[in-house]
Amino acid sequence: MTAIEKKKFFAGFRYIVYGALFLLLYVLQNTPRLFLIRGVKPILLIPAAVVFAMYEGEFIGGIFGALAGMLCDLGGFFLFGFDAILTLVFSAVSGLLIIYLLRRNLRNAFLLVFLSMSLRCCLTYFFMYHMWQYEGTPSIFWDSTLWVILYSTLLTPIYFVIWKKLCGFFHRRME
Amino acid sequence: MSDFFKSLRFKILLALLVVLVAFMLRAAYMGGLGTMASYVLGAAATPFQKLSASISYSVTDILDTLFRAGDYKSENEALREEIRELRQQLVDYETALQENEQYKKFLEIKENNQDFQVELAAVIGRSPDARFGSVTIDKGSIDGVELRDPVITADGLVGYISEVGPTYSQIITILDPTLHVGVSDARTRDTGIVAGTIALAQSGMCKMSYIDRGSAVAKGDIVTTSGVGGVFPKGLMVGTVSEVQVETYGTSLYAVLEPAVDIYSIKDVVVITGFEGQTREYTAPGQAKAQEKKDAASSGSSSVPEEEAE
Repeated sequence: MTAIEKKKFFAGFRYIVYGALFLLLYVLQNTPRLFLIRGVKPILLIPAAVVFAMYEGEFIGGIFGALAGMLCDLGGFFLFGFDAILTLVFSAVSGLLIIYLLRRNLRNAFLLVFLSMSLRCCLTYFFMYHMWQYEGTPSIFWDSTLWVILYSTLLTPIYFVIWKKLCGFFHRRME
Repeated sequence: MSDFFKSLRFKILLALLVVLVAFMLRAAYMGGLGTMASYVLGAAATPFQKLSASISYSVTDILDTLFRAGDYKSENEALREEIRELRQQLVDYETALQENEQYKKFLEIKENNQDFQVELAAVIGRSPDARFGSVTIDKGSIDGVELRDPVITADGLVGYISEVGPTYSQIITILDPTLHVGVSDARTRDTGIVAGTIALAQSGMCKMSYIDRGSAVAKGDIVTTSGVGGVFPKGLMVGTVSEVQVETYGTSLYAVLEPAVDIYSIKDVVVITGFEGQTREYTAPGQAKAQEKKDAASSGSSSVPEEEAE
């Protein structure tokens, strides 16, 4: 295999690996009892997509963000497409911010994941609970939504390290 | 950054966004029916999800055993003491009887309801933001499961099917405020409507509302489905009354129900894919009652008997 062929192979192969990793995250996210702490489970796909976009840029990040969001929609109980739209936007914006304004470091990864998760969870809370004026709705926010945001954000370093190693590996092979 | 907004990449992302918005609008229009994209993704992911769920159950059982070894030891000692006491009795007979009862419960569902067509299913997913114990099961439209099919266990009613894919379905439970089930007290025959509330759902309980002020519903009463609306068959066990209170404005009573099924720990369920008198057009029992009264008033009838309205 020539050097150019190797580059082409890795350029295509990396997308299969990325897709498989997002599928794995989907399975882990929806597996009963896994990562369950006091009734709260973390959302894995959206933070992973946001951090991924920090390494792969706004375009590839946005497309895989849409895929991650669609997988979230698949396991979720809200309108199909809601998470896909949000995650596409979060990922594309994160990619652009890293290119033009922010440094690619763990602190900024925390910041972007926290903002994305807060916005997503608050919108979901609003549309699923607050808008319908159920009795005792705020308790859902304090007992569940808030903890999902924090728990999901706390896992950011894991994605940061994984994507750093993986994207770095593929980028080196394609240079 | 302005270069980006003029680039082909931006236009592709924008097109993708438009397609996703179209998906969402279609999903909103079609109700619980998934889109083609969700079918494809669901079909690809379901086998992995099944495998992952079975591994997770095994691993968490092992970890549970390790982490709670101390608890199990003390529990074990207590049980040994209990066994010593029970040796005086006919232990073998009692144990065999209990085991037999467990197996009979599933059989009873079919025996007592000859008209039921059932499909056994396993819980394969619980989303992080699942509402009120909602779960994903491993049976879908290719197994004959349809929207609003009732879901039960051997202990009683769980909920109904809220979304169907080819190989998976999603269930909303009786703890959800959006699901209303027409019920009656097995002892007093008083009717009411069971629905979840956020406060009660957190402790795995639900609420039976619209009980007549003069009703004799009391703690310990068993509540079953009344068959109102044709979504749920009549006579399914829903739960047991744990307390009875007067509604805020004092016009009626409500009861707090302990569901017959432990919603947050179900692993296997039975989907009733067909029964005599089934209709999948869901109307909340309260709405049905109001509509019938309205219809009766408009046709000149003075009143609708309670039984008819229900």
